[in-house]
Amino acid sequence: MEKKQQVVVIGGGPAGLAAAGQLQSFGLDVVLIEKQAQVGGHLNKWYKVFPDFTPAEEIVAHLKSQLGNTRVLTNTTVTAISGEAPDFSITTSSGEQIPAAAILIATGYKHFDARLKEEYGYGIYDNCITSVELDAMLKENKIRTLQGKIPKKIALAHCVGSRDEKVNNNYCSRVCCTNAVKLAIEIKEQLPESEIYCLYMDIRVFGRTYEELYRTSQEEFGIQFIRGRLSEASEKPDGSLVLRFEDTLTARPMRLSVDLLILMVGMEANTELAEIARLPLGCDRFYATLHGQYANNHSHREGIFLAGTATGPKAIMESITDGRSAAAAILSFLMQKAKGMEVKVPTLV
Amino acid sequence: MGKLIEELKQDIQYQHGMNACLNCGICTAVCPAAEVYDYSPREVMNICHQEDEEALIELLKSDKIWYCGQCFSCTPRCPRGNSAARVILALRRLSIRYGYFAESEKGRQQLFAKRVFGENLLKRGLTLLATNITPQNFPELGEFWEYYFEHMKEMREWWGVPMDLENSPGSHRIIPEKDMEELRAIYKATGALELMEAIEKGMEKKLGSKEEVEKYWQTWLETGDSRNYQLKKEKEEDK
Amino acid sequence: MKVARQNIHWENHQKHIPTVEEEGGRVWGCFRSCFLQSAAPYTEGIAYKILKNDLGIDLREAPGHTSCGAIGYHGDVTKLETQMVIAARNFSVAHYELGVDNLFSFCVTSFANYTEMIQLWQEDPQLREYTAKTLKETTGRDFWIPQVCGYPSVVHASDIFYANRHILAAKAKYSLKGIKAVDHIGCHYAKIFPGEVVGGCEFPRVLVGLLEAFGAEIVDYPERRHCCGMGFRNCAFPENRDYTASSVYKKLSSLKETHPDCDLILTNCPGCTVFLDAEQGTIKEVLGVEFNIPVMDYAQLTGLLLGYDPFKDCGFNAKVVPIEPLLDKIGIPYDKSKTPEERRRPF
Repeated sequence: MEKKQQVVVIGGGPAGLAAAGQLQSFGLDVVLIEKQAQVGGHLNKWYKVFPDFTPAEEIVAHLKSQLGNTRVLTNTTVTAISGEAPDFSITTSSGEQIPAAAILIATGYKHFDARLKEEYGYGIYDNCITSVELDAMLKENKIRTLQGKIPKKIALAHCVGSRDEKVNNNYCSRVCCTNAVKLAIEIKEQLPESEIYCLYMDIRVFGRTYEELYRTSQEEFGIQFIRGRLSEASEKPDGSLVLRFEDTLTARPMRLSVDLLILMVGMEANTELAEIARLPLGCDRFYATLHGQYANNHSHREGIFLAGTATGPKAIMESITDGRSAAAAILSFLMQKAKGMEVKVPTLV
Repeated sequence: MGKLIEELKQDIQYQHGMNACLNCGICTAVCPAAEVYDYSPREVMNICHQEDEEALIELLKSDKIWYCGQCFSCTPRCPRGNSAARVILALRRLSIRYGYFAESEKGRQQLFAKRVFGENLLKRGLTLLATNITPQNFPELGEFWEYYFEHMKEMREWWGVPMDLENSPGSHRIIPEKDMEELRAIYKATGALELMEAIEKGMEKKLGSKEEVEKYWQTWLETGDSRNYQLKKEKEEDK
Repeated sequence: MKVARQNIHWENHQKHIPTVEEEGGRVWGCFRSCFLQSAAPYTEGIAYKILKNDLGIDLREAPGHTSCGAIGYHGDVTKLETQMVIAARNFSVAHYELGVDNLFSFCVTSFANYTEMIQLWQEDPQLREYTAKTLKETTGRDFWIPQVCGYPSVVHASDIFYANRHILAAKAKYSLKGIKAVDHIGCHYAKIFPGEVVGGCEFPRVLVGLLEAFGAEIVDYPERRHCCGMGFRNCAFPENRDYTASSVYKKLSSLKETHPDCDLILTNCPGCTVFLDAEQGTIKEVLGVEFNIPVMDYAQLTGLLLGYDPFKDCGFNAKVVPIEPLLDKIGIPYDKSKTPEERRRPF
């Protein structure tokens, strides 16, 4: 390449950070735009990450250390994208115009709003919390009920806002099962006296060593897995909750009283840039990729790439890999453009 | 695919009530029938989903499909938009059409449903009549209900809801004959009469004769419990 | 524990029910309930008095309106096709003979049944065509779909009370201040078409809104959403009624455990109104457990608070659970010179 080319990465979560680090290592100028005050994305909220309990801070620190000369703009959003590849111009919330030969959208996801599952009483009952709130408690080593008591019985309800046509999310959020297993172990470590129940429909622990984590949770930590999806929760005057579900292995309806209910909230698309970037969405409302098999980092617009959970639920490790994969796709695109070659974008033949 | 499976799949209630089932148990969790009977709506959905003719016939002959109280508690939460209560409606009609209902104790109760709800409608245009709510059949309504029942006409007038008025929009009214004729024509044209007839025929076939059906009916009228009627087979076993 | 009615999403899926101060809220066509007419006729009686005298509604009903037949539908002696044509006939009579566009029913099962038919016709032109054709052939009548505020639908009588709750509360002689109450919503009001429910099916507002307007404190309990156990063929035949009694027992035990001081259960379903009360007698007899929680429907409660006679107008003389302790607590007068039996037995 004769002239240094600039790539703009939008979103500073694991995918965006990994991509930026990789792109600058290729010798490209990289601008990373993050709307929050700090990069790291959802990782900043997490305690430890499955399957190996790596502290989330460690992952952020590592990814940040790879950023090199990347120009990082925090507290900044993108308000307009004009032009076409390789001559995009990005307008930011601070009014700056940034030229870009290619754009990577790594804007992540939003958590499902658990209040929509009214039957679980989130936002109504004192001791119904989300997995996000539990992580904050774990971080402080202070798992308590709203009444300030140490919970004895704790249930984790899987598939909240996932695989549920009633909330228009038919897809599986993929990570919640393994996350629930990890959380259950962490609770047990902090509160060895507690009894922990996972209410699941299917256990989808899909990654390397995830199954071992699941097995460990049963063998070493005595986590109870009950095959039945939570149907409803109700509150008792002492703040404890009555859960109703079917134990589908014995085909009997059950009631279980717990002190704390944790809703494993799924992922929903964050498509704030869909209009600005003129990108189509899939039926799951995440960004559509050019091809589901062999062009997963390509959007439907030339020069605009996608990475991480912008294209569907992913684990941290997958988002990092996906960010780096996008970086490679961007480099390949720019090299071909620079040589004046017809860009070999994978297309539907 | 079997004939009954085909027929079931033609039923609009089945089509609307059954998408693929996740087997998550959200329905059974809140089913009042599952609390008191050996019953799980999820299992019923599963049996249907197998599309196995023999398994379906066994289901249609069993008590299971008659346990459902039609409250639809299973319906609003199903993550696949299924409704077990709606599937039950389809299964029960299929069971009646083929006479399988008469094979189970709960199924045979359809004779009362037909002779009470069904015939009330055809005679009076109401599914229930004031005279059906007898203190004998509804002892839980208590002693004041007994008093009411003895003074039904006066009590209703006292409450300001006089009964059995003609040419009136009032409570428990006598619906004009021309309207009743329209109602009966609808019942005939839409196949409800045929369904009711299938109940009588199915019972006759199972119990052996019309006389036996009347004995079964009388037993229920007199004792309020159809289990006091002994099936032929049960009688022979007793001997 | 917070009052569990803070759900945020219900307003997003609300139907509009016109009040008597709005266009379309002063004239209503209505359908009676088979169950109420035979097992609790006084509830429709007091509802009529309130709707006509206190809200000034022009209620229109034809002698030729028949039952919707839904007890036969859920009791498995009629078919979907039958239900569609019967519904269409009743709608046609209301529109062409009585000139009404908006209709309500006193029965929640009729409400669900009519809603089901209207939605089927909207979704499936073939079913609509079948219904119109069969209606014409069997009765000579013309097909018509009722509308409330321009939306193809019918509502339930409790919806009208809810819509006019502030007008009713302003007229009330007595208040529910200091009274703890909980609602029990009919399954067929809430669970078949949650989108047609005031407040949605998990934390419905329809009765809670009415109770709050009258000043009551709302409580909640774990089995609130559990069915009362009416269950059609289950309550209809004595040999199945253990289903009903055990459902009531489950609910009321949970309520007693959670809020032993709850003063009343308010219902909007004919079946619940009767069985939640009646089975308390069975439970007392069989298990020796006394709940003594008054159960009444929205019209009976409104009648009491508007100053109607508890017995002659509101029909509390046919209930199992005595109403007098609650009347005393609210401060509603009744003839104390008579014995409970005398008050209940006028002849």
